[in-house]
Amino acid sequence: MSADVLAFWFLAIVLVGSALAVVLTKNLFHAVLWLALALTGTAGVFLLLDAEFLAAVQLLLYAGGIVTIVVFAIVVTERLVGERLSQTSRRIGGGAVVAGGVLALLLNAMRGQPFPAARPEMAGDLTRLIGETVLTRFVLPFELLAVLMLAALMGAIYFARPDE
Amino acid sequence: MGGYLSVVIYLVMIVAFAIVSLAVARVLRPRRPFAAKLQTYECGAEPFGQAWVQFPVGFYLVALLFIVFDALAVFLFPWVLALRGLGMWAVVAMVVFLAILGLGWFYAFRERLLEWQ
Amino acid sequence: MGLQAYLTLAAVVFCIGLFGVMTRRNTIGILLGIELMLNSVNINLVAFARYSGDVTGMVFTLFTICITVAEAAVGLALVILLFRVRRTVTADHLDLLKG
Repeated sequence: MSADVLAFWFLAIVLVGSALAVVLTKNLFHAVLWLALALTGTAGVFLLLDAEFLAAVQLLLYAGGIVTIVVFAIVVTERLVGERLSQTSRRIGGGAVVAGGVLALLLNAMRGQPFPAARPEMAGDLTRLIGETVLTRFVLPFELLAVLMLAALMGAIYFARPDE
Repeated sequence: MGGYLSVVIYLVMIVAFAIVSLAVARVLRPRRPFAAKLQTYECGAEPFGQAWVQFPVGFYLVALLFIVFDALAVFLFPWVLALRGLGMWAVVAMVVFLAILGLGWFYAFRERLLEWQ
Repeated sequence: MGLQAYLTLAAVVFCIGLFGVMTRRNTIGILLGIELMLNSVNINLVAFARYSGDVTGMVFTLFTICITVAEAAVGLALVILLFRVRRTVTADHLDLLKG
């Protein structure tokens, strides 16, 4: 077994295990910490796919950013004095059946497809290539993304700020 | 992938150091617990109440500002690398991007989110 | 590892996230499930980009990550607003629009 295969299986186990913990653990705070582990595992998968820049973005924005705001959203909402920070699940059986059904459908659709097993060589620095693609072919989505972030920022501030 | 071998070795060494030093400390240290020793330590002050209280919403708003400009900063890295090949056009595109997000900063400033209340 | 291994991993994570979205009572718990699902989509995009030798999928991943940030920010702001108005973040209690 080569190092790549070993790393893939290790990351797959970490990712699936922590994802299961995110949806099954009772304590909401622990669920967020498991989510941070799952997102870090995904950054590892990106490294395996030679996307170093995206792995860094994943750590910076997901594991560093989204986990931060989820934690802050929890501490500003849950009134926890004398109450355990727990969350229950409902209809676990039905949810498992539907999720398993969707998984079976996806795997069935994938079976027998001629997926490539080998990777083509990608020349040059991928980060630089991403930058050039963003600034030439995708420059309009890039500017629209700024508009979207602006709208999200203003909307979120408007919703969340305390009344005067 | 070969370039990451040193990172993996470093990671293993960090984890092993933590486990080994905690295990050695557990074996060697004397254990004589008493009430004052087992109390929560809060800078020498007597702890009162629970740690789980509701925090003011200002914490969330600051985190929000942080994450939006975090997302902005992410685009600066590939931009810098692509700058040499693309020249003035890339500068203009990034200035427009920054100006649009700068409006968000201006809105936060006007709403007095940058001052801690 | 071929492309199929990455796609299978992403499908499994996607279905775990779907399970979380369907079964969680807490609104923040539902958001965590959505994050897992979006995350598995990113794995798919990067895997396809790498195995087809085209960087476009990676650019798309960069965009989706930023859009997820915006989505989480607005979603959590709505959760905070709901908590302030209704004093609950349990999705089952938020049935005002139910006919």
